[in-house]
Amino acid sequence: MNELIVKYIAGEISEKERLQLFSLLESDEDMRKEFLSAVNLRAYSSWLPADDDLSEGIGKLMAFKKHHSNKHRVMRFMRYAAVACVAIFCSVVIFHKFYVATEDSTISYEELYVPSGQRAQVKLHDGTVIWLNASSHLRYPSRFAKSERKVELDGEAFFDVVKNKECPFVVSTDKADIKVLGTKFNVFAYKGRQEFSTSLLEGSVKLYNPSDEAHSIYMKPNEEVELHEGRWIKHSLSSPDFLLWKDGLYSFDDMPFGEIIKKLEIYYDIKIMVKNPRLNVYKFSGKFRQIDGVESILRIMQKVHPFAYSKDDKLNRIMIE
Amino acid sequence: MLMEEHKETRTVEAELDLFRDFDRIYVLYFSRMRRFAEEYILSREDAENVVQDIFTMLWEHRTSIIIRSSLTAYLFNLTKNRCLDYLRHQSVAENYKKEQVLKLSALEQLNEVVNSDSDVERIIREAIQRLPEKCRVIFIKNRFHGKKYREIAAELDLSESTVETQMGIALKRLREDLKDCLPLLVFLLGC
Repeated sequence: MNELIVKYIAGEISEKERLQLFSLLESDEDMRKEFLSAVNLRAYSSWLPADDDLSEGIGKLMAFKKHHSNKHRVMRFMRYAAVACVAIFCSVVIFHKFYVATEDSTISYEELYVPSGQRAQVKLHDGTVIWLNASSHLRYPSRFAKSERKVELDGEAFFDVVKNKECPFVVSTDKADIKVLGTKFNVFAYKGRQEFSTSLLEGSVKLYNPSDEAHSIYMKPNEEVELHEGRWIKHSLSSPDFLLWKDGLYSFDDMPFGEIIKKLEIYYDIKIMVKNPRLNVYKFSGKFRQIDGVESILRIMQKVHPFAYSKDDKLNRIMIE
Repeated sequence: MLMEEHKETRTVEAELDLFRDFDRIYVLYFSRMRRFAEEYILSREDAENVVQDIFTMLWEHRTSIIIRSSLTAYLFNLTKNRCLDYLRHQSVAENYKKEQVLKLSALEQLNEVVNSDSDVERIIREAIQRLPEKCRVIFIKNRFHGKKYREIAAELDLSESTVETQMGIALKRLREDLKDCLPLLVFLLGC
């Protein structure tokens, strides 16, 4: 059997060899037959159970159930709302006050939690689309109030807000609130973490502390505001690549090792201890697939600046030396 | 002894029911279906989505679907057919076109009847028997013992590795893992 096929099946073929293999396969009928049966043999062996199936399966099942129970809640609410609407329609003239009171008391909330290593997209009933990054939590009312569309975020999210001049959209986080009319922007605000940032792509946003809305920061497109040692710092966005997380890619552009590690800790919900502080001065640029996992990212970074790491699955911890 | 183990896996399969045991079926088969899909679909993300879509469909229709074959046969064919649908309709970047076309041809040729995991084991055994001896050893060591191609080539000790001993060890271990994990599953999923 051709060595290139063997390497391909073993998953150890270089890009150059891969191109070579596929152009050979075009002309050589026998080799093609050999290749097709080798691919199928490997697929059959993939079907057999393996060591990590159970833990992966349980993790995925949890996410699956969470997703589907959320959907069900929405559907249940819709049914409920439909009944309520009929009731309101009949009584609107006679029991106007009562109707207002019931409207307030029927506000229910939807909650969406995205586990580590995952991401999600949700469309609200006003048409606003929200992408949620790993380990993030979003809470929003099933129906928005008339004067304000308010959602609560713990984590990272990208918002594409449908414009409504009468009804501003507010993202509430543990460090600041962000008020917009209709724009596209990213918010990074994990509860209990020091890091906070918001980046604006289109339109304008206002950033403020809810207890002191008079002192607010206005942002223009392609600006980013970060919280740095308790102070707000505004700078311009160099590249929109950091938004690639929406498509399942983590992009780091000339970012210090320490900052990358902090993000990986959040996105993959794991403690990473860097024992060699010299590593923190190195800067890295690169794009990684979220699905490949934290260890794959570390292995690639090892090739740029050598370091050793060990993973302790019981303590959910990685040590880097 | 081997016969008994076969019987045991089969009875377990027969007892699982889509409506009652959705969670267990998901946990037992998700990774296997994903790995299988990844063999043909070049994008890992799309391969996983194909499998997630299958489970969404099963979940939504869990009360109405009647599985007439064995569960393994049903899930195997479902995965295969959904991958075929995907490959026939999805286009990829230019430098991956040839690879995807060949993967589609391979999957179109995958026509052996699969009723149970032991069928899959038999198909693998037979296919491995047909390989030239050196490839056979490389395949077994690479797939079932997780060895790198480089390491195997360096070992050079190919004589002791007959198919029966190597495959026997690998498959016995797989079967035992599956058997061991069932009580654990019952505990974890509370059913």
